[in-house]
Amino acid sequence: MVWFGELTTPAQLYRRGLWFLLPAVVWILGLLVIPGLSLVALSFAERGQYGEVVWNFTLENYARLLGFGLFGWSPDTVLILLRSLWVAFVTTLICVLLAYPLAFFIASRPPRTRYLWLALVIIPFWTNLVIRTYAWQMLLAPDFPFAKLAQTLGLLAPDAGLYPSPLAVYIGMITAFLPFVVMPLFSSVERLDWSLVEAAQDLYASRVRTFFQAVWPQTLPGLTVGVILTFIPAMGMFVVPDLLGGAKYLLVGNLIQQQFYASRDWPYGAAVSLGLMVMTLVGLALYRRRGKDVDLV
Amino acid sequence: MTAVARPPATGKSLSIENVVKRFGDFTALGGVSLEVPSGEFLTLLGPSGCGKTTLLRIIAGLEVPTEGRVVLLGQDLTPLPANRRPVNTVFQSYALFPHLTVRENIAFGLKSRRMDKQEVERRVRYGLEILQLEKFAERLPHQLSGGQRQRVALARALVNEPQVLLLDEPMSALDAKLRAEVQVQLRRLQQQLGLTFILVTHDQDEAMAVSDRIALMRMGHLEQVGTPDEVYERPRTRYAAEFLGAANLIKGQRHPMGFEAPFGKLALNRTPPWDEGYVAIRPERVRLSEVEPRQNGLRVRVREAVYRGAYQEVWLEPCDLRVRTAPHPTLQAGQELWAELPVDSLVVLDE
Repeated sequence: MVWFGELTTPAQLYRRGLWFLLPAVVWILGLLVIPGLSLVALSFAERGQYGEVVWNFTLENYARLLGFGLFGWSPDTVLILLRSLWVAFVTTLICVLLAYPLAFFIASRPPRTRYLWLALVIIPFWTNLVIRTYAWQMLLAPDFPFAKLAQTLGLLAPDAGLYPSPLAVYIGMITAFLPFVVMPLFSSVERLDWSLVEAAQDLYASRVRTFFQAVWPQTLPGLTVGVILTFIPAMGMFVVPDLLGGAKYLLVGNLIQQQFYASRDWPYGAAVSLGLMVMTLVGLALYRRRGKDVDLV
Repeated sequence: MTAVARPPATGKSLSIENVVKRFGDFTALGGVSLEVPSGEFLTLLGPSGCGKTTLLRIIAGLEVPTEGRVVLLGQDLTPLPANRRPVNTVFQSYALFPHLTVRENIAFGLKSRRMDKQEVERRVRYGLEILQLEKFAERLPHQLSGGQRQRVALARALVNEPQVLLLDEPMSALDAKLRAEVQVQLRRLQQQLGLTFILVTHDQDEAMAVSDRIALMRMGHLEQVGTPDEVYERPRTRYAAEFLGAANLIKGQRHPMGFEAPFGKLALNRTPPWDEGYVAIRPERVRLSEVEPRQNGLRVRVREAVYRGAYQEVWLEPCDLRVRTAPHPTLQAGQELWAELPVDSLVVLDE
C-alpha cells in the first residue's frame, strides 16, 4: 500500500484516519463502555448472602443511596455525598486561589529560573500519592511542630495530633491537586497579552477591574483545565480521606471502596459509583453554564 | 453631531522636562525636553530603538522615568499611575478587550470612572458616530477588520476626552492604501476636535502627512524638532537629512567664498560652523539646464536617467548627485549639461 501523497488532503486523511481510530475504539469499547454498562446493570442487581451478585432486578441500591435503609431513612449516605461535593468544591477553590499568585510569580521570573520554580511545583507530584499522604500523617502527628504550635495556641488538646481530621484531608487534597491547577494556569499566564492590562490601566481601571477585565478572561482556558483536572478526581478521591480523615470522615470514594472490598456489596458499590458520576457531571455542567457568560474561548 | 468645542491653542500644554530612562545599562532616553502646545499634532519620528515609544509610554504613565518630569497644564503627572492621568493611548496592537463588544470596549474607560449611565451612553453613541462604527456596535473585536479595530481603539480613547491622545504606531498593521486614507482621517479628526495628539511612527511620509511638528529622534535624543517643511527643507544634521526623504550629501571644506567640494566651489547663504563638513541638497532642488547658470553651476554628465512616469530620476557624474526633475524623455546617459545647485537650496549641516 502506498500512502505517499494520499494522506496530504484533509479528506483523505479523514478517511484513512478512521482506520487509525480502531485501536482507540477497541480500547474505549472494551475498557470503558462495556464495564460502564455492566456497572449500570450491576447497580440494579442484588447482593447474595455471601457477597455474590444475584441477578434479580431491584431499585433497593438506589433507595439506599438516598438514605432509605432497613431501619428507615438516615442521612448518612446523603451526608457523605454532599460532603464529597463540598470537599471537592473547597479543594478546587483553594487550589485556584493559591494557584493564581503562584502562576504569576513563576511566569514573572526570568526565563533562567522560571522552569526551576515550575520544577519545584512538579517534583512532589512525581512522588506517589500514597507516600505523600503518609508523609502528611507524620508531619501532622502530635509531637511534630505543626501540632505543637496548635497545642500551644490552644487550638488543639495537649498531646492531640492534627490528624485524623477534616483539616488534614483538606491539606492532603490541596497539596495533591495544586500542580494540576498551577500548570495549566501557568501556561495561560505565560502567554498573557500584557497590552490588555496596559490598556485597562490607560482607561482608568482600578486594580480589581484590571484583573477581572484584562487578566481573568485571558486565563480562563487554563483555569478551566485546572478546575476540571482537580474537581473530577477530587470528587472520587479515597486515598487521602482514607489515610488522613479517620473512620468518621468518609467521602464517597471511601464508601465505594468499602462496598467492593470490605462489605463485598458490588451492586450497592455500583449504584454509589453511578451516583458520583451523575453528581460530577452536574457539577461540570453548572461550571460550563456559568462559564458561557464569560466566554471561555 | 458637532464636535465638543475646545479652546484654541493656548501655548504650553504638555511639557517633557529632561526625561531620562535607563533600563539597566541601556539608556533608552538621555535627557529629552519638549514643549507641546495644546491642540498640536506632534509626531515622534525615528527608527526602532530610538526611544520614541519609551517616551510615549512615559507620558502615558506605563513607564516611570529614571529622571525628569512630565507636566500637563501645570500639573506634574510624573507621580501619577496610568489610570489617573488625563491622557489616553491607542496601542500598536489596539489591545481591544476580546470578550467585550465594540460598544463595551468604547464604554470601558467611562465605566472605569463610574460615569453615570446616560453620560456613558451619550459618549459611546458619539464615539460610534464620529468613527462610523454604528453598524459594528454589537460585534466582538475578532469579527472586525484591521481598519475597523483601529477605529474602535481610537473611539475607545477619544470618548474619554483626554487632554492628550497618544498614538503608538497605530497604522503599522494597515495596508499601504488604507494607511494613506486613515492618515487623512486622523488629521481631520484631530483638527475637528482640537485635541493634542502625539503620534509615534517610523514612517517619515506618515509624519509629514499628519503633523504640525515633527520631533525627530535618534538614540534616545531629540535630533531636530520643527514643522514638517522645516525638518525637510532645513535639516540640521546628516541624520535628519537622510532620515526624511532622499538627500545629496556633499563633503567639503569651508572656503572664504562659501564651500569647496571636490568638484568645485559653491556659494552658500550661511558660513559653515566647521572647517570640514557636509552640505545637503534635495534631489528635486537641483536644476538641470543647457546653458550655464549664473551661480553654483556644475558641468556634469548624465550617468543614468530613469523615467518614472511622474518624474525622472537622474544620476550625474562626476559629482555623484541624484536629481529628480520633471520628465524629459530626451535625457540620456552620456549627455553633458549644466546642473545648478541654488544657494537657497543648499543646506549647511551642523554635524
